[in-house]
Amino acid sequence: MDSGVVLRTENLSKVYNGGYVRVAALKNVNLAIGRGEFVTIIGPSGSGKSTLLNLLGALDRPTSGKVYIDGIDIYSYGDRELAIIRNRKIGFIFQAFNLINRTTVLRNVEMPAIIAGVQKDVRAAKAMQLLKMLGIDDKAAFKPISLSGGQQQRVAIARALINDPAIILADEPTGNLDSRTGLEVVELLNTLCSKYNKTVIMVTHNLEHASISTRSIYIRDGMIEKEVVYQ
Amino acid sequence: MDIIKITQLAFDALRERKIRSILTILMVTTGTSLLIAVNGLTTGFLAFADRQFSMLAPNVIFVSPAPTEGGGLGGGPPPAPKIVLTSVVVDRIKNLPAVSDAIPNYTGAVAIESRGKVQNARVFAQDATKIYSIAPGIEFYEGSIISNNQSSIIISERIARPPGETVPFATLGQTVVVKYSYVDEDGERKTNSRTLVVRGIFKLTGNPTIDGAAIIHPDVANMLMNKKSRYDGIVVLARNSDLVEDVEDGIKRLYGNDVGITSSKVILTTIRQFIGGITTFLFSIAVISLVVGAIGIITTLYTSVLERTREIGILKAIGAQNRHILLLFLMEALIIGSIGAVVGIPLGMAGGDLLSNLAPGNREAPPDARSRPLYTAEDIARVCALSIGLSAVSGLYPSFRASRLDPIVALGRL
Repeated sequence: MDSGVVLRTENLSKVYNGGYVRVAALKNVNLAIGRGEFVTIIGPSGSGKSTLLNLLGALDRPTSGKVYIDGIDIYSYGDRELAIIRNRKIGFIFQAFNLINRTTVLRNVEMPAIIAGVQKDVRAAKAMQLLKMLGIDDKAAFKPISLSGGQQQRVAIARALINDPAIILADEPTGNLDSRTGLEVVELLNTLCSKYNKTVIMVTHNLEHASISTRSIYIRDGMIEKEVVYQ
Repeated sequence: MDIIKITQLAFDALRERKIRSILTILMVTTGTSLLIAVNGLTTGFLAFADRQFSMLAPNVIFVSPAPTEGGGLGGGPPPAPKIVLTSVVVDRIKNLPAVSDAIPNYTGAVAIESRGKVQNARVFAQDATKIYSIAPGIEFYEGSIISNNQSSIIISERIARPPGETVPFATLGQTVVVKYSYVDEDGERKTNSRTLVVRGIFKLTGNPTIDGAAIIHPDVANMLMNKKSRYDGIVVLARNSDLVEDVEDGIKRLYGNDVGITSSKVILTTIRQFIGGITTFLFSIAVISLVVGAIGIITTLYTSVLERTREIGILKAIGAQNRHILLLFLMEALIIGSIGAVVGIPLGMAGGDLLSNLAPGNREAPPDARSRPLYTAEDIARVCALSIGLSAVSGLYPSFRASRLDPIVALGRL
């Protein structure tokens, strides 16, 4: 594990204004995550896990506080730059896979590289290499809808890796999978850290999965309740 | 993301919603083809009118007794015209400073008998040697010398060779009998007839009045039609086309509103104005139809944005910028508009041709005397730009909405 901090937050807060009600989803969260670390975020529903992941992934803007990726305060940038950060530095894996079903597995995996403007032969070769690594290269021409849940999540992992991002954010990636497949996915994410030095931050409810990670951050009521280091 | 990839993605999205996309394209196609057909028919008809009137010299002015007001149905017989066009009137007009000539004429409906058959024709009786001064564009099918012989008759190609007949009605050098029936002062119905020799057959012009006409000597017509030297009209030639208005003013000064004055220029302007009015009306309908197509695009794309909210969220999560999403949806509108225009233009041209061929006047006229739709590259480019431009404008709002979607809202993560 590289000890350099790749992601850091500083008094990160998020308040949602819903008409007459103001909900503080996140309150002054400070954390630092190193390169190659596998961190799990654990907490009950409504504790602020997904809000934290949205903010770490440049999907939303905080009410106050800062998020640094590679030392850069990402929210000092505009929407265009945030989109570029999401494209180059972050890979998302969602519980519901979020694949585009009208197009092929290969095209889904290629999509972030298409957005980045990578040449066709380069991105196709990279996508195939990733699909092979994840054991689904024979499904390249299939539509995602025709694959099993575990296979669809592997496609999503391949898509998250295509632009070689430093950070992988996974929001309950095993939520729609059976326990065996879920465990395979978590082990795969762990491999990404140990073998490819990727920083993985995964939201989960599953303590068995959390124990595979290097560190668990427990969140409750929008605040960090405790941290558990496993290794 | 380059424009080629955006185009491919837009095509994929349209293919996924095939029926809806085809129906929207059909709306644009209808508007485009209507615009093309209306434009082509109008341009063709205007060119046709110009061609017809270019047969008349631009310095020609027609003078006739002014139509009388009052009388007629329920109010007794119409009063006689206030002016009688005699040789004195002709001479007075001829003496106006800007006038080069005044050619009096008689007109009437006659029956022409030849080879045991009869044809009705409108006869123009005037000095035949001056026909080129009035209609320089007239061409002869047979017989090239127009003589002022009293025994001559010049007939149109349609009279000589009626459409659908294999045997000619009359040929050059042949005699025909021209008959005219009228009721005299004593209330007696009389028929005068005269045997004349066909000295010329002129080519069809496309003008039904001219194409059904015969030209005879005025003295013969005066006797035949019992005109008593009262002319039906005078064709006045101004010294040049710039003096037409001066001549009109001169005639007005002499006879006020007792005469009707029409110049070929005025007739053409009136026809152009009339066609312009009709065209504006038809064009409005065509544009409305295109606007309906544009609303169809807005509906289709807006529905698409709603259906693809999650997809927009996914694209944004993996790094698509607002402009990528905007371009993606705008490209779909452009593809709909472009396909609509590309299909609509040939369809409109074919429709215009079909309508033109179905028009009764055109069906009977010879090919070179038909009003054909005219499609200029400029008009086609203009309609094409309008269809595609309107489609792009229609796509703006849904595209903008899509591009502004908040990724966490679009992904349902809020």
